[in-house]
Amino acid sequence: MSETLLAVDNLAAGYEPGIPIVRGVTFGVARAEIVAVLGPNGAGKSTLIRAIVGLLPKFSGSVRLLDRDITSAETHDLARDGLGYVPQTDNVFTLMSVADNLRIAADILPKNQRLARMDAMYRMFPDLERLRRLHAGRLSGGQRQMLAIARALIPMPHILLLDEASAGLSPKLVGEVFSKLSRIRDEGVTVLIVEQNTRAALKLADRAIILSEGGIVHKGDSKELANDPAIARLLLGLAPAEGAA
Amino acid sequence: MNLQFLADGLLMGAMISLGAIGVTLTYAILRFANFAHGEFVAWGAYFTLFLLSVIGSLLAGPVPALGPLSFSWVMLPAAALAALLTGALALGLDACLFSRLRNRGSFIVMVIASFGASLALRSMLEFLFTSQPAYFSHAIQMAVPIGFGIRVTPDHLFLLTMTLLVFIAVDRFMALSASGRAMRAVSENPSLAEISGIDVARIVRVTWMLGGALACAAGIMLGLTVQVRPFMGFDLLLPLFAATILGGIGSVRGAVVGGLIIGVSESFAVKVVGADYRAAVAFLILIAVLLLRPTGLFGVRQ
Repeated sequence: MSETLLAVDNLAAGYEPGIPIVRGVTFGVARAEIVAVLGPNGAGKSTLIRAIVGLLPKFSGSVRLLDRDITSAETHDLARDGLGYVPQTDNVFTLMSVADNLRIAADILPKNQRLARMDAMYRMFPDLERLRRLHAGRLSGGQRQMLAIARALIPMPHILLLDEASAGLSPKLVGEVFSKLSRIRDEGVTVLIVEQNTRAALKLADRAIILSEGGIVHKGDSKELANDPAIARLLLGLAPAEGAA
Repeated sequence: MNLQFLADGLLMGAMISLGAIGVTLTYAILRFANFAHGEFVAWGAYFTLFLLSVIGSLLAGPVPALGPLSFSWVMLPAAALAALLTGALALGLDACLFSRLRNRGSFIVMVIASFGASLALRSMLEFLFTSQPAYFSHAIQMAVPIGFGIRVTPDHLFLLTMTLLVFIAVDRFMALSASGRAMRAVSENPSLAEISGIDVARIVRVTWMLGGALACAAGIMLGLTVQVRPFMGFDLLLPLFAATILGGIGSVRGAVVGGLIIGVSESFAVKVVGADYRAAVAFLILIAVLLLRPTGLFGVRQ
């Protein structure tokens, strides 16, 4: 296994002090791999990712990004530290133009890099360049998701965290979003996704972590997990994924 | 029909707009109605008065007025310094009071706290400067005709021009600068702003500084046009909120347009029904907007 980029160690987190939703979670994500966090509703997947980015309090444990302990880091510093995050909902500034959504993210970069990064995003997501003057609130669900991913990618993160990137999208759009994520990984960015769409996530990811009741119950190679009957039963009673072997 | 009310209304509206920009930004970014904002207007005027006297005492002899205006060049550095001090006052109030309540208090706690702060700040002004009115200048200016039966003083023309420049500067700042973009982002979605790398605490400080400085500008205008007294900001509070809500919470352009409409409407009411009902106009407009279009002219339902 190559260098561990994100290391989560014995993490407990939740909304109210003394009531952890996520308990004793330990895992690592290596450079340039895609890891999926799966589990039934209420397993604590979104709580885990929101705690990692500092939007929810961590009660114990630690989170490291490369050599840096980011357990107590301010959320606004994480984008500079190399951690990009795409929330499940409200992930674009709807009252601002597409271009301003990207500028917001580019403003944390040195001035001489801002335009180049925006151009790079327009090349990766050509629709966004065509729509750059439009208010983000007028974009379709798929376009919003692309904009949200582009916004998170602008500061050149080491790792991109996505919470339910496929939620509310048609199967065709899910395919488009996931193929972009695959391309993003190919360009060297590590991806950690929290997903309800188990079948698609297992196809995309290199490895997967299965959460249940706030703890990790399985982890391993995603293709192996896709064919594990116990996992299929746990995740919404699915039969083993077709063609996953 | 004599159109003098239009000039008077625009002048009053410009003062209201300057104050309303601060109210709308505070409301959008900090998510509470700051009833102490009127006191920033009064403190801004008194800071200017104090600095005029300090700078004047450092200069040898009286300083002549600037051309046809009623005040000297000393007003310019005094106003700039007073704007900084008023911004610092707003920051100080946030540090001592609002920031402590923000994370644990509810909306209503913040609003009630701002009422208390308003009373305290006004009482402090009365204690320091007495309740007697003061003036930036005792010079008498003759109004000059500018057509359509309208007469304005050189001070008024200067103030309207300066206000227009301030409005353009604030509008461009909000649209084009990184801080302006960040302020718009925080006002729409603070969590997303934070994960996009925006230091929300810094943006809150910028908001207080900007709001305080613009309130100071409104105070100077009011002081030059009428007089300086401790209740000047409190009396402006209802028009400030009426303009903010009429323009749409969070919209700088809305605050400017709302302020101008309130100012002209009040002035028109003075002409038609008399000065006694002036204050009722802002209240009626406020009620009408809340009933008919709660998002205001430029507001967006989120």
